[in-house]
Amino acid sequence: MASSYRKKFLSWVRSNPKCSYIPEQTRKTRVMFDKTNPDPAQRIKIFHIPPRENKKNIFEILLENIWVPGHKLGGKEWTDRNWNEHLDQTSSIMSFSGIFDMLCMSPILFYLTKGAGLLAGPISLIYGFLLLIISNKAGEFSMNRSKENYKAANFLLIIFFILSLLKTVMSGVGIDIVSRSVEIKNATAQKYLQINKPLQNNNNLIYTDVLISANKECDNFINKRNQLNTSKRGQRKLYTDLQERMYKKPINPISDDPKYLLEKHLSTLGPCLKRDLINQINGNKDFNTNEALSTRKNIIEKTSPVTSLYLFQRNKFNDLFKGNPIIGSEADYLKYENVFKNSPFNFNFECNSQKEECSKKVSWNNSSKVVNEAWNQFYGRIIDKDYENLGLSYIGFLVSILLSASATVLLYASSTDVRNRASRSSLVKQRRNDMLDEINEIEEEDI
Amino acid sequence: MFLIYYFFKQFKTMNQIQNHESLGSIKLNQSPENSKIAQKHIDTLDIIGGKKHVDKYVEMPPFMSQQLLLEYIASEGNQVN
Repeated sequence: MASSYRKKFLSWVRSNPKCSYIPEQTRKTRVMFDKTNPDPAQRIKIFHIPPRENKKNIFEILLENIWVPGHKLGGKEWTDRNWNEHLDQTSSIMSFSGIFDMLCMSPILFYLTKGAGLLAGPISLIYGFLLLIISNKAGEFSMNRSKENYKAANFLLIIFFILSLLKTVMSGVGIDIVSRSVEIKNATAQKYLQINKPLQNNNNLIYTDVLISANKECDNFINKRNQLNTSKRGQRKLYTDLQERMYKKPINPISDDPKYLLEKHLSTLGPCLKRDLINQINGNKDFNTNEALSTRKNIIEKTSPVTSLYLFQRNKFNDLFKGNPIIGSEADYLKYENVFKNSPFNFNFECNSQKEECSKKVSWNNSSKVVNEAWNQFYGRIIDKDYENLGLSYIGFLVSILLSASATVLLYASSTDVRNRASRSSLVKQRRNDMLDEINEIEEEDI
Repeated sequence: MFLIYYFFKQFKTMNQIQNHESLGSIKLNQSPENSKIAQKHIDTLDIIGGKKHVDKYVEMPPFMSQQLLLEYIASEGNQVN
C-alpha cells in the first residue's frame, strides 16, 4: 500500500507542471562520486542541492493584495484541483469587483484630495488602493469559518459587503463626473440661475395663472434641454424635438395677433410661446426693462447655463467655477451692453480675472462641490426615473452592483463549503502528515 | 627571506580536478549499476522535494486529497451524531 503511495506520489511530482522545478533541481544536485568504492551505498554522496529562489519582491506582494490568487482564500491543510478552480473563480470575481469599483470611484477621490495640489493624483491613488486592499483582506479573512472563528468570519463578510456597497454607491457618481462633466456644470449653474431670477411685477396682468403654469412648464423644458449634449447625434434629435414642443404653433392660424392666438388656440400653443405671447400683451411701460428682461431670457435660452451665470451672476460663477466660458466670442456680447446699461440686471461679459484664467476653459473652483452636485444629480435622476438621460454611469453602476453581490455570495458559499472546512482542519493536517510519513518509511527501507 | 619562502610554500593551490558531478549526468553517463544508484537518489530527492512542496504550496496528489476529504467528511458526520 505504502509502496503504491510512493509510486503515485513520485509520478505526481514528475507530471505536475507546478512541481517541475523539483526534478530539475534534483538533476542539478551536486554529488561526490567515488566509482571505486566497493559499497554501492557509499559511492554517491550528496553535498549540494541548488536552492530555489522564490522570494517575492514588493511588487509581487502588492499585486497579490490587489489581484488575490485563489489559493489565498483556502486553508493550508488540504486542497484539490476542483477546489482550487472554485477558489480561483471566487477570488477573480472579488478582485475584479474591487478593481472596477476603485477605477469608477477614482474621480471622486481625486476631487476630494484636490486640495493637496500636485499630490492629489498620488494621494487619491493611495486611498483607492488602500480601500481595495482592505476590502480584499476582509474577503480573504472571512473565508476562515472554523468553529472558533465563525463570528469573526461573519463580521468580516459584513465588512466586505459594506465596503463593496460604499464603493458601488460611489461608482456611478464617479463615472458621471467623467462622462457628464459638462452636463453637471450646466445643471449646477442652472440651479443658481433659477433661484436668483428677478421677481416680476404681477400687477394688472392678464392670464396670470396661465403665465405661471406656462413659465413653470417652459422652465422644465429649458432644464431638460440644457442637460442634453448636442454633440451627440441622438441627443441632438431630442434637442430639436424639445425646441419644437416649447414653441409649438397652431397650423395655419387666421391671425398672428397674440391676443387672438391666446384666445382661440391656447391649448395648442407651446408653453414657451404661450409665455412670450402673454409677456408681449402684458408689456411693461418701461420699455428698457422689458427689453432687457426679454433679451436676458433670450440669452439664457440660447446659451448654456454656465455662460449665462458668467454673464449675469459673476460672483456666483466665481464661487463655483473658474475660467472663461466665452473665450474668443466676447465681441458677440458687445451688442447687448446698451440694452442692459440702465436695466436692473448685472450684465458683464469681460473677463476680470488674471490673464491665465481668461484663456482657460471652465473648470470647478470648489472641488467638494463637484462631488456634492454629481451625487445629487445622479441619485436625483434615479429617484425621478429620468431614463432619457441614462448613460454610461448607470451601466457602470449596475455592473458594480452585480459584481459586488456576486463576490459576496461566492465568498459566503465558498466559506461554508465542506472543502473549506477540510482545508483548515487540524485533523486533516495530522492525517496528511501521517500519509507523508508512510512514504518516508518506505523510502528509507529502499535505500 | 627563507622563512617567508617556506611559510608560503606550505599553501597549495586548490585541486582543479574534481570528482563532483551532478546526479543527472551520473544517471545518463555511468554504468548501469551506478546509474541505478543515482536513480534511487533521484527518487529520494524528488520525494523530499514533493513533500516540501505539499507543505509549502498546499498542493497534493489526487489520491491523497480524495482520501483526506472522505475521511474528514466521515469525521464530521461522527461529530454531528
